[in-house]
Amino acid sequence: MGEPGLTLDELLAGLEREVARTWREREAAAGVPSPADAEGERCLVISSGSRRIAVPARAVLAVSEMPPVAAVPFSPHWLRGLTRAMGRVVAVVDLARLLAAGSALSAPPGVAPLDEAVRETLLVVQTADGKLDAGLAVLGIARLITLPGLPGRLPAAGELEAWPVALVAGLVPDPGGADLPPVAILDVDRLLGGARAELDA
Amino acid sequence: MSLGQPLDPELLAGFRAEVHGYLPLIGQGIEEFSRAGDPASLVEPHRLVHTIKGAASMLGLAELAESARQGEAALESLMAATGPTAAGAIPAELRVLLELRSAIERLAPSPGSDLPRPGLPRPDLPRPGLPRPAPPRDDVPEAAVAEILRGFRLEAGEYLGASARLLRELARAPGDLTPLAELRRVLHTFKGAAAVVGWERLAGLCHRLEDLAEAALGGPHPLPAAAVDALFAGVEEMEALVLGELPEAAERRAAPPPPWAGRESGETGEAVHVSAEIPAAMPDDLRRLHEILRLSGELMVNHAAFEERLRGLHNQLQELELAVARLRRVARQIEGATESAAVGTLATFAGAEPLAGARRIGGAANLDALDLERYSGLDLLSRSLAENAADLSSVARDLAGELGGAESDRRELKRLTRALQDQMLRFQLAPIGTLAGRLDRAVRATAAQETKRVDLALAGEEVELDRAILAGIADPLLHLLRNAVSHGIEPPAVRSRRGKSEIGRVEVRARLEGSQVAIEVADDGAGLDWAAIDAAAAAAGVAPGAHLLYEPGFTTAASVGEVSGRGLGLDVVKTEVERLRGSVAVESRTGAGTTFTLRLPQSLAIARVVLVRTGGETLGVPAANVVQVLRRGLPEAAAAGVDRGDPSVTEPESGLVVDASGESFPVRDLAELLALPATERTGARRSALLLAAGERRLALGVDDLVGIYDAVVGGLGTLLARVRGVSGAAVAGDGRLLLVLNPAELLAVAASGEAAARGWAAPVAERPSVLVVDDSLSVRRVLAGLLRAAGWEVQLARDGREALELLQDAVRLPSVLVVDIEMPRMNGYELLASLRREPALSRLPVVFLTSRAGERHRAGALALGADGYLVKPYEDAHLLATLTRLAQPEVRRARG
Repeated sequence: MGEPGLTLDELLAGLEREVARTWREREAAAGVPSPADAEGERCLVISSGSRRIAVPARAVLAVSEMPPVAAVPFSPHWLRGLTRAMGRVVAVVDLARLLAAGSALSAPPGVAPLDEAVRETLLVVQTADGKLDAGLAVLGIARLITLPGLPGRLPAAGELEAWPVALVAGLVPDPGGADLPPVAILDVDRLLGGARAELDA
Repeated sequence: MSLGQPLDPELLAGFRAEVHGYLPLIGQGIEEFSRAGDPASLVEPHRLVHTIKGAASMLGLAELAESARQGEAALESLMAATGPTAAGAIPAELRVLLELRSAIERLAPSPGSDLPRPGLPRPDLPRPGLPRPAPPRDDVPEAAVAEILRGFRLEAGEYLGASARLLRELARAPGDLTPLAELRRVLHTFKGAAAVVGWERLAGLCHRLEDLAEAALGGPHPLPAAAVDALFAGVEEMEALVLGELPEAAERRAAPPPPWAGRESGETGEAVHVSAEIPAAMPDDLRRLHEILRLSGELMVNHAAFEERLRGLHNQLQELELAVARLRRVARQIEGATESAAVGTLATFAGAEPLAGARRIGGAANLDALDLERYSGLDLLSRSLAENAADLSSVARDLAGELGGAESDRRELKRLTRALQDQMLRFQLAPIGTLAGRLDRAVRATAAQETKRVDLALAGEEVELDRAILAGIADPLLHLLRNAVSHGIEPPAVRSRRGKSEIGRVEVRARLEGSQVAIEVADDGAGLDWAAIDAAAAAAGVAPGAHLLYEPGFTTAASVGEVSGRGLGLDVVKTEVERLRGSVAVESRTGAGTTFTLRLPQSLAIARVVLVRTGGETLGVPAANVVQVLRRGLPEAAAAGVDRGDPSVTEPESGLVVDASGESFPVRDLAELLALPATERTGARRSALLLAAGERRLALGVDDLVGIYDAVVGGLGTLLARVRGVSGAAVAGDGRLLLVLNPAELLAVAASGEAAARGWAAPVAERPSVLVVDDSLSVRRVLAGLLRAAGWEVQLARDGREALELLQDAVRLPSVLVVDIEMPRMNGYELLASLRREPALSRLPVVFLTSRAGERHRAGALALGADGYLVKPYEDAHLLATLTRLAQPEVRRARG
């Protein structure tokens, strides 16, 4: 992770090995079956505040360290700017700001800029029809996990606090433990579609 | 042609071209009839519908022939009516012409119509009179085919230009058949050339037009206007093919829609078609070309990255050479010290007793064999060190030689890449003359509609322009030409009264201006009534000026009579031209005529940009819009408050204004305009670009000017269709993405007094910065690692002189300096003294970090104005705390 020049496949393979090893150790220690062995969908899981968000791996084109970003004038606060990824120009969406923005995708007051010292990761995602793509700026390192039961249950009222419910395809239990909040599955198509609609407006 | 026989697609294409040429004229006649109710207006439509009926019958197009017959009957019925009919509406009888139009539309082939279709003859079958097309040449490499096609496109531009010119001559003097004969010859040659390169559709069109010219030569004289029109329409169709546009797109632009089709907008039906995006109008080969150009741009970017790496290697080599020099110096010192020690020892011993061999030495004077062995060992080590230093020096020399070779390879690579890019760009260009037929036709059709006599003159037809731009400006040019004829050129009687020739003159002049193409559309008509425009502006409560012409809906209709409506649609022209990164300007003298000047980049793919830095961002400004550059002179002159020659900067109450070349440029700060974080740069350190876009002028204040580059400008990705003030994104030499600004939009934003309301997405708090000055590479590395990890921006210098140069050129001064005392060229004391003498740098906090622990050194540094004195080895926390304290803005302000 984070090594420049690493392809997504190499990254995923490496992560998968790491996850499998971790789960084997956990299984050996606690005697519980590993979710990685179960049927499910591969997702890249990232943290946002106290909650973990899963991005279906089929929507992810590339993962890299955050490259330099050219800021864009006259743009909403959640649009970090533009960067080059995979030889093309992609808009960089600050996922934390976008999720904090609420369902209207409008500017929330007082969202502090990111702490420069925290390492950021860029997930380049694409809609299912391939027409829209963007880079998601996320904090920390994405981990590959196979999540069973997708797309999961619908969130209950107020369960996601200020998050735009429309951007969440569903909630699934966090494989890390029952005491953890459920993992939110990001609906990449809606996210990019909504972002494009606001930018066009 | 006998009925039931499959229709030759080339004949069909020619017929389509012919009837599409008739439709606007039919529409104009009917519109005139609906306006004035004069049956005479229907004479020409009737004749044309009759012609369509005959031709359709001959080609076996029964449905179309029947529609034409009904239309003809309807027209005859109206023409037979006695006296004028009620004006203001299209008579119900003429609704049948809708069916005629639909039937013609149904003739339109699908975009893939060049492919063989069931029931139609294969295109590669020979036809009488048409040279057999070249068979598919599998053995010819694609590159060669591309080269042949490129050459042919250039050749085709010449044929098209010549055809249009000859047709204009023919239209002016229909009785003189010399141009027609020449046209037939040109078409024949064109046909042969098109067939040789395998461009069958074009060859077929040439063939049909050649037949038409042949028939006209043997027909009645003077040549009927309809025949000239048909020839014009054919040439227009060929232009569309050569430009690489789809036939449907070309037809959409060929003429305003007939009145029965309904108006798109405005009062005159002159709505300009604006395609949403250039790429959408691009055919596949143009798209591929753009992609190849983009890739060649990437190659240039990678080259720049390679250049940067080589520069880094050169720097490292310099470091290595310095280290080797130090090593050699130390080796010499050790060698000298060893020899001195040995000589001293021997001298001491010699004073006690004369040397008499080793054995005796060891026995009599305490210089035993062990001492001698030690001396020899030290001597050997010293010599070995010197040898190793010499070896390293030799390696450094070899490395320098290799780097020189790599540098030479890089230059050659750059030359080849640039040559490749130039070739690709040339392939993308087409002469403006390829639009000649369409422009001429627009003038003729409008003049006929307005019952005016107008000559169109073209100059600079050979000037080449990006084919995508050429396709994009066709509509704006047609619009300006129709405006010139409709609203600029006076009716013959009026011209006569004003002492002008009854024949109006409209000129389209193209010329290359550096990397830009200027296209002027000039008429010798009535000109704009500036007084009326100013009056309309006053009535609307807006500032007067030519910019009003481009405001949506602006009109002087209520007050200026015959030039009324001149501004209608110009907003669309301006929008379209600006979308192509161009600008529009107008000059007009009442009674003497009007000139619109479009300035466009010659190529959309490559743009020469001036790179500027401001508010922490690097941005590109198209060089075509930059009138002048003021490097670090803006506020200095302003502060003086006096004129300083050319340009001069004054500060009237309205704000800072730069006067240059007789024009005033109001000053706006780019960072402020785009809501970028402000920087600390003030005073004489500010620079400015004097920009012009259309009628607007602006001096754009920036932190620094980086240089001028040829950038491959691309889109903004799939999520961002468009950003106001930004025309695209380019890749900088270091591989980073940078935005290329759209000066026209930026100047509009500045004029509106608006700034980026929502600001930039992620304003990042400015980090403290430090300049570390030390001649030891290891010290610089250790300090840089420590400080960067603590969140500092770090710059490095190897000695005092390098530090001073860095500071004098800096866009943003560091918050604090960390300086060693002993350094080559300029030591720490000298650097500090120089800083304190220079007003712009005198307030910089300086901390000494040295191994000199003596009080004498500390006192000397503090006396010179040092803000801190730390001794190596130092504690990280102490150093960081000291620097953090000194980097506080209030501390910096308090200095001095």
